[in-house]
Amino acid sequence: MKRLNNKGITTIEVLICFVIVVTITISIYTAVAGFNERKTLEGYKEKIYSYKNLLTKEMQDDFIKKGLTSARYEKEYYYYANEDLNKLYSEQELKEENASREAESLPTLSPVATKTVYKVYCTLKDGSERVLEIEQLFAASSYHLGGSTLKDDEFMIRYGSPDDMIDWDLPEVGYSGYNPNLNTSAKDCDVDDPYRSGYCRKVQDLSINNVIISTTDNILSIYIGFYHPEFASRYAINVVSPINYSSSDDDTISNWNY
Amino acid sequence: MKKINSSGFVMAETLIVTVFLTVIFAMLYSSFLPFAGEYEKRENYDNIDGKYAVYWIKRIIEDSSYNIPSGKENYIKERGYIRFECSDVTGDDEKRAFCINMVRSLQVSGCDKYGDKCDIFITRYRLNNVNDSSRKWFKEAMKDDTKKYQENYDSVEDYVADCLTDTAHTSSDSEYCNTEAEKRLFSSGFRDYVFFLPEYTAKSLNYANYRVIARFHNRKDNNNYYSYATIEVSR
Repeated sequence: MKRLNNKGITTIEVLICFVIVVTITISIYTAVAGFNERKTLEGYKEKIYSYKNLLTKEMQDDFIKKGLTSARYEKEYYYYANEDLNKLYSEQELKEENASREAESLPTLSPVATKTVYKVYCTLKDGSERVLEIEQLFAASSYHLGGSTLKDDEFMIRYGSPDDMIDWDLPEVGYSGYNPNLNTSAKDCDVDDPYRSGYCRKVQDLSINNVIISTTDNILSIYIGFYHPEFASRYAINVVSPINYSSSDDDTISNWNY
Repeated sequence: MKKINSSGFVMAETLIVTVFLTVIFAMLYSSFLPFAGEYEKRENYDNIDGKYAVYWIKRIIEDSSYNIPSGKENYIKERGYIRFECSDVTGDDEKRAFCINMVRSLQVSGCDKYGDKCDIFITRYRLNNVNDSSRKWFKEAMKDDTKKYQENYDSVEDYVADCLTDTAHTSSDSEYCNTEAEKRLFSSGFRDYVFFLPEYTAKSLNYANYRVIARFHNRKDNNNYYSYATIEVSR
């Protein structure tokens, strides 16, 4: 009968093979974990791109197909006051409210959060109007230390005809909690905790960081820059359109033959 | 009867196979890794901002106020392209001023204050045709090692002399001008983009015979990256 090999393997062989297998597994795991994180970020990018593409197309469709004849730009400030954190006052409303309170010897309201609102009013060639509104309120965070300690991040873009404006909520690409009153260096807090501290602010990972609007030289230029901790200021909505542009009729164009 | 080898693998054999497999995996990994970089680069090809930007440039080119200047009529045939410049918008001063402001607002790279020297190139609709050697095709032009000075000058000295008369430079900038003269006319990023584009062998659905290709230098909000876009032109 054939004699079987029953020598087995020695301890040192087992150990060496074990070390090799562990090393390969760890290196593969690191690579796979990196790709997994990358997949999440690519998902975020895709959401931001879809948002940017749809909104840009919405505006450029109006400017190209209907034609832009005039554009006007305003920047306004609105305030949340200490007494009612859900009520938003314009600068004028706050002044009037405080004047009447002073007259009645009541304590005046003091703003605890400022919302910046950028408004672009456009008139199209068919006489219709379009309004673009960009709202920006920063909660206190490591990026905006001067932000509000009593209100969460609030960002919103609205676009449409004045009586039918559509809300374009920023895409959900994560958020975190920040409590400036914590004595720790991290200041992280759980915003989903129903018993969270009153100073624990919800900070959106994607914020409207920088708004640059210009209507000079008969060109409307709208730049809405986003900020994300992973992408920095890489993504933005960037719409450029001439105001009152008319090109020559087709009949007058000499065709090339080069 | 022949005795069967029943001694199994020795340590050295196991190690050799393991090392062999590891090397193969490492090679596979390193050959797939550049795809990620390629993908990131393509994020800046024909994105929505670029598409609308070249659309407005196309509108200027299709306007009767823009005409290829005399002496450069054969550029598209001989070189495969002609550079679009706002100085060539001659029929209408208002439209020339608009062109200058527009290329600035669109962040077209390379433009001077007159809206000239912009990285905007008008080519034929089709970018390459290996069966037609009677004319230069744009993709072929990308393969040439054309230097910047060769676009409009016979020698480096002529380029430098003109470069120094530019109000933006002083005579102390001769080193800068010399370096610029010897730079490649088409940057590596621009060439990558053109090679990425198809040859457009099928005819345009809009009967367009030309196309415009532009490079943008995105600098707003502390950014610093280039993007590229193309669109067909009907002239």
